[in-house]
Amino acid sequence: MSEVRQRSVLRESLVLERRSVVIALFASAAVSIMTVALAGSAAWLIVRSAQRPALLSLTFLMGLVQLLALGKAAGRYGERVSTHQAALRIMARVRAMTASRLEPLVPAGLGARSADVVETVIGDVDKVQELLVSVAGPVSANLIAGFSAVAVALFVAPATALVFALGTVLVGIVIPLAAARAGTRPEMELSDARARLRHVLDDASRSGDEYVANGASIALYRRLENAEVAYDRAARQVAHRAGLFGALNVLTIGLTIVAIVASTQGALENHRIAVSLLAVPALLALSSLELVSASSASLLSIQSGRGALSRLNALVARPWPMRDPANPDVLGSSSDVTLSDVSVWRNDQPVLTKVDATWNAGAVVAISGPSGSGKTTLAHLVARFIEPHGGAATLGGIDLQRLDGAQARTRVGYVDDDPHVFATTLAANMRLACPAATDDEILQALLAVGLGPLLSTLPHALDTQLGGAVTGLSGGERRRLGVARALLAKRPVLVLDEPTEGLDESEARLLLSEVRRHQSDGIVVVISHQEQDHLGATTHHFVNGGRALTLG
Amino acid sequence: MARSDSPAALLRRLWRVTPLVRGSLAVAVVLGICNVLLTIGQAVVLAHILGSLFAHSFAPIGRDLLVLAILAGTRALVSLASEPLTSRLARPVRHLLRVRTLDAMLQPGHHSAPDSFVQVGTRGVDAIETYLATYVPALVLSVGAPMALLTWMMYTDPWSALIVALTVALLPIFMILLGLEAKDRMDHSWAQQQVLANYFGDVVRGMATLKAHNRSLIVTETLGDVGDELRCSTMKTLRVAFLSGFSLELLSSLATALVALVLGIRLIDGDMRLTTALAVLLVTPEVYVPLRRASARFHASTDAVGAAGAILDLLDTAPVTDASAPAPAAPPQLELRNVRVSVEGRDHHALLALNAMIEPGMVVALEGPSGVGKSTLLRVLAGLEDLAQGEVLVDGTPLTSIAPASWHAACAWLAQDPLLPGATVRDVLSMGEDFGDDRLREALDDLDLDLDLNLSLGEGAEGLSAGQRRRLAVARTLLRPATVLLLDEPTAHLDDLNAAKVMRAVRRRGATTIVATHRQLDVDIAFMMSAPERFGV
Repeated sequence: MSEVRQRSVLRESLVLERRSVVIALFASAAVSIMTVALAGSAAWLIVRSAQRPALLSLTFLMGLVQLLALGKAAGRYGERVSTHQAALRIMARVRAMTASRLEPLVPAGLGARSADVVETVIGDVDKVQELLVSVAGPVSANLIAGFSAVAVALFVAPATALVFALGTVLVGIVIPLAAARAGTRPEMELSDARARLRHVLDDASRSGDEYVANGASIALYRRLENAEVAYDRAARQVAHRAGLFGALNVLTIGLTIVAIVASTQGALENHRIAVSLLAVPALLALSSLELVSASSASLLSIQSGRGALSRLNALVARPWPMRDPANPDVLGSSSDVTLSDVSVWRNDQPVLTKVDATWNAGAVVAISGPSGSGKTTLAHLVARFIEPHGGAATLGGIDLQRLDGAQARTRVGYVDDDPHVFATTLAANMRLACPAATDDEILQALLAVGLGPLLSTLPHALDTQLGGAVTGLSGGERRRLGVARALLAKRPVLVLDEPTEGLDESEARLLLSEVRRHQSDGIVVVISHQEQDHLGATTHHFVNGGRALTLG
Repeated sequence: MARSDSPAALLRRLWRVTPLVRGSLAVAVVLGICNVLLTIGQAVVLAHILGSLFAHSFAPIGRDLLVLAILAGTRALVSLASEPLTSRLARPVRHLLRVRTLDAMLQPGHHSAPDSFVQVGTRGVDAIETYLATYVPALVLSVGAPMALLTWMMYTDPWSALIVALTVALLPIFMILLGLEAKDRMDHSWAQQQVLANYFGDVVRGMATLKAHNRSLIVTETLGDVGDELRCSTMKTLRVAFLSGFSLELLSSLATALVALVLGIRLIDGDMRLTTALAVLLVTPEVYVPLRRASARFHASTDAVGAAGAILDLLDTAPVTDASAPAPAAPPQLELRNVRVSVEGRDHHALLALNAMIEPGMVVALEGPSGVGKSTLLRVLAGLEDLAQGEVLVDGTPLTSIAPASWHAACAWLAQDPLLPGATVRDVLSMGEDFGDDRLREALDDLDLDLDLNLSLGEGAEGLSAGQRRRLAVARTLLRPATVLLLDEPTAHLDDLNAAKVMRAVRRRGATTIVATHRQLDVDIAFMMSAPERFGV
């Protein structure tokens, strides 16, 4: 996939939102500059006062100090608002871009563990936000402030500016970069150790009772102990590095101040600095370098953000499982499905080979077979989520490859084995299948799949918020909801992947007979490993090792 | 729930779980004192140097500069030591909490929400570490450091001390005036910031569902617009929430300015020395630094406090048992008296009570339709669950009075759907114990299972056939040094020949054995478990 240009989601978002980025940087720099300037001008005021001039001659300086104090507070508020504004804008872009990169890959292009990939993507986006808010933003603002302070020093006491600049470069650039470099390996070891700990706890959570009831829990404690030792070693290294670079910062700041004071004396002796300004370089540097040194702490954690970013950018390089044709054909009235000698490959491995099937209106199709045999791939093929790689697959008499995915899916409804329930109202969850549906139609669909009892327990009926812990649905209820959505969408071909998982025999029988009743003019395809779900089917395919056997 | 814990209350709860946290507190206090002393020292020496230079440009300041450098070096040393020290002190606390989490996970009856335990043992423990290593020191400093610095100021220059003390005292009042509304919103603001992230997560997780309904492109395209809307509402909240930070900032910078003005006027009047004035000016902003840091860390620790509260809730509820009788060393006699189990989703009264007497070394079968509670009864006998009614006697001793660890060591239990954790066949079989390869191979041979001990297996022993997995699980169970075998469907997925081999191997063990099964097996007695309503039909 070398021709795919790997564009950074973050860089593109920054460019698109450059206006708010500039405002935020400007606000952060302004508040940092005012902080530094307040320290400097207060020092000036004190030393000037000690020369005991007339009080009136200090009016300007006193006003300046007060103004900077007010400005700094107001500026801090403005800075926080504008940086959050910018971060939220950028993250909205990053999320939109990531979602649109993910869209063509779902559901068949993310590999066997697509749920894990999706969770990683979600976690990575959060990490990028962290990178933006707590690393990139503050570091650039502090550097701007640091070098502005150097510029002021150049103006007030040029003799001290060189040392000051050197200190700023060391504290603001050299030490943070060294810290980021040195932090990489221990951080990685720490996250490895964390994964080991997690693995032990995962085993304990899933197989804990097997260990307990066989008197083998000690094995889990031993593994936990070992993982903990590795974790401690990594954590110790991380802490040592953090301590080391913190100490380097403190030492550099201290020595820079010493050097600045020494050069101030030199400047005083040569009358190259006014006596009233003698405290300004030292106090300016003290407050500026402390701000700038905050950078190295945040850069210690830059690595995880960078890893997350490159994983997000790499999403682009994944091959699409299906591409719409340039000039798609248009479907007629028929929605019959035929497969002849169809095969599907993934990663150079055949997933389905030589599949033949003919499903006409009124067909009740049963697909069974062991897990991992290719049943779901067959469903993905018909719902036009993947390309057939050999043979001919048609929908309504037109080659599937001549149809675009969205058009095929106006005919084929597909309910996967774990339908998602969105964090919105029950009605909105249903209407995504058919935006124009009336409440009455929605109720009918819900009753048909046996969600009547659930509906009566919901506090606001159709307007109840779903998702989350409060109104979580069970696995069986989620699957029923998925089927209800598909009924509402009224597709001529309906493919249900394991719709009866988690239901008992009589519930399953009731659900499937309702589906068949609603779909009597169309085609129902049910994938299930429960034999009884296939009673009364007109066609039965048994899929095993990528081969589909038609049993009649 | 736990979120309502105040940070200080959390510390008290943590202290009750482990007094080890006092080490972290002590270090925080000592480091805090060092930092305060060094800050004052640096300010005094620097002010002294600048004062001398003011009096006389050629003043000999070399020695003072050396002192200043030494102070910087000392500060660096404190900083060098502080991170490793805090991390080392958090270590035993972290370790203890993880072990306690594992304890709680392995507690019978705790298998309802296993995921939350993993979260607690990883993120929860991390959160407590963050809380101990960063928040607690910040909390200690936010109280101690301003007081210490103020005391020094009071001694050096009472007027400035008064100004600073007034603003610090004003702070809470200011916060209350400004923040009554803000505080309420503050609690929401962190949740608010997550709104966008949650919406995105929802869309991405549901992408396959959206795509099946041809809605994925529309939703993806409008993600930006929805983001804008959510951002506007989030910003509205944040604008108010940030007001409390603004008040802290305003007070600290106004105080610095005011101290500088007052010092200036008194310098003009000549009733103050420049050296003192500069030292006071240098120390003034330092009074507010710990306060600001504590308030910043407080926000960062909201999650930590919540997670830490959750882990403590969990450890608080860990049940204690006083059963202490030892399990018998030889295969025991088991008696089931009027036993009923509770099966999920069913009233246990709907199930018929079971009476059975199983002599030592007998192999008995437990039969009955699915869902009648065979597996549950085996779990009860394995000490994983409690009975709904009746009692189980082991050599005449009630099961409930036998120490759980001792009973578990005497039992071997084959789950209906075991997960077989382990990287290789050897790992799976040995379950952390060292049996020696010869015994492991023998156990495999007994069941006619031709597998290399070094064969690496995926999660849940993927790659093996269902029959191989079953026999591997049986071999693992039979290897345990147990006197009671509780086997849930040991012959599932096996043909008659292999099923017979399994039963022969089981018999050779000579343990008191109960087998839950659907098929006719070679056993001494079979007990029927059934529901009365089915009985009547």
